[in-house]
Amino acid sequence: MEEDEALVRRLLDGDPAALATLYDRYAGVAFSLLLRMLGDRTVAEEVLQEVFLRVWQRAATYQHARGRFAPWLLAIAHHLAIDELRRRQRQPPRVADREATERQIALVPDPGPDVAETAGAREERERIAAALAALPAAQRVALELAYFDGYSQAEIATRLGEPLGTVKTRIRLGLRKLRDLLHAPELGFAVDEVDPR
Amino acid sequence: MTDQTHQRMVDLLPEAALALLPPEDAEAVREHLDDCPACRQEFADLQYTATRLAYAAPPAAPGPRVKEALLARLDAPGSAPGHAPPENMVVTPARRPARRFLASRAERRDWWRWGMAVAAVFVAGLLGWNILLQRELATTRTALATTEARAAEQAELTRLLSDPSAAHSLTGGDGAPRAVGYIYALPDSRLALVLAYRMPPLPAGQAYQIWLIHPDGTRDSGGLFTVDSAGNGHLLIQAPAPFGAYRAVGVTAEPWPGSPAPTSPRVIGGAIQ
Repeated sequence: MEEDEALVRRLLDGDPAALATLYDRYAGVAFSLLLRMLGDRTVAEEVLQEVFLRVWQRAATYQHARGRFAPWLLAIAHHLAIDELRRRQRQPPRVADREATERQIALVPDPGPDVAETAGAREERERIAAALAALPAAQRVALELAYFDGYSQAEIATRLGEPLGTVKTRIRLGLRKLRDLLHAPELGFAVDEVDPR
Repeated sequence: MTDQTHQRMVDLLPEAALALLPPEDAEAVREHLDDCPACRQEFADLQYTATRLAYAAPPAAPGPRVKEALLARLDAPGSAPGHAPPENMVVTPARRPARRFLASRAERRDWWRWGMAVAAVFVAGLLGWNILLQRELATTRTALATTEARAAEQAELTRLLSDPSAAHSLTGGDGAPRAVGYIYALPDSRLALVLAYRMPPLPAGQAYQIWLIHPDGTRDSGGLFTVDSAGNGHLLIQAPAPFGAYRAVGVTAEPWPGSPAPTSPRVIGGAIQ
């Protein structure tokens, strides 16, 4: 299987087949993130196209960045989803229309026959799920509200009815603990599997 | 750098990695990272951990048309690979008019400089406008491609639901006698809607997988769906072949993200010819 880095180099030569291969590898995890954050398949699919278009246009900046392709791609997806959430906050919600109701039918989880989750993605999913499950619930909730819902710490404090200082402490401890759990041998992770950025 | 400042920066690293800091704190952390290799390493580590949270999202897959729409956009102007959108407007140099009416060389030079400055501002304005238009065009194209794809799917779905010959019932097997379902499919179409009711609850990590059965008994996966607390669920299928190629449909419970072939007894099923 061709390495991600080799595919990114082919992007610089303007090879759309390389982008198609990267899409096949990572559209699933990026779309899962976008759908979790945005809650609407149509919007998540539009943002997903934007994510891969950025990859296509900005492959040169990846060359200079250190680290692997997946974290870079997922960071782009996360940023674009946060932008979309903030844009949405500034606009009044649209009146529900009939089209939106019809669209509900497409909202059920639908992996589709075309994009299969890779074995690597499944393993990573299991690792993260195990590590998150090992975190104290309050830390996990604070991290999820910050990462997936794009809330500021003040907003999280309001939602949870907790002092801001408590929320900050939970996020600081939570992310550090998650990092340590993902390194920990009892969860079956080899330390050298972690990106050495 | 005092120990106190360093400790404060260390405290802020997780929030920085999650992009939660207000701009002034974020800037302070950035400056600190330039001078402190230990914090730089710690920050990279935490940022990488934050990115891996993406894998905690429930698995989902985009519709099959998204990839087509994306690849179609690569040909659009302003989508050059490798770098930000190019400034691809061709600017022809203006012909230099005769300026014999100006008295001195210095005066001519001043006019020329002034003219160049105005032209430069004008060209810069045009370039900026051009980039904005290109971006707007690219956004409109995506929206249009997505809307067109969705409209085509909706039209196809309407055709399925309004044609009485498209509906086939699926009945429950021994393990789930109360379960029942319907599939709406036509021989000339790859699209189908499956509705399932009163399905048994799924164990954690499993989903219902739809099998599209060829006359020779080989099966294509039609995708996975989950059910609500009442056991009801539905799925819109894009089949690998038009439904004329299949003789029957079955649904089994399979471990996520699906199996290459059924590994458990059929929960509901039925003929579609």
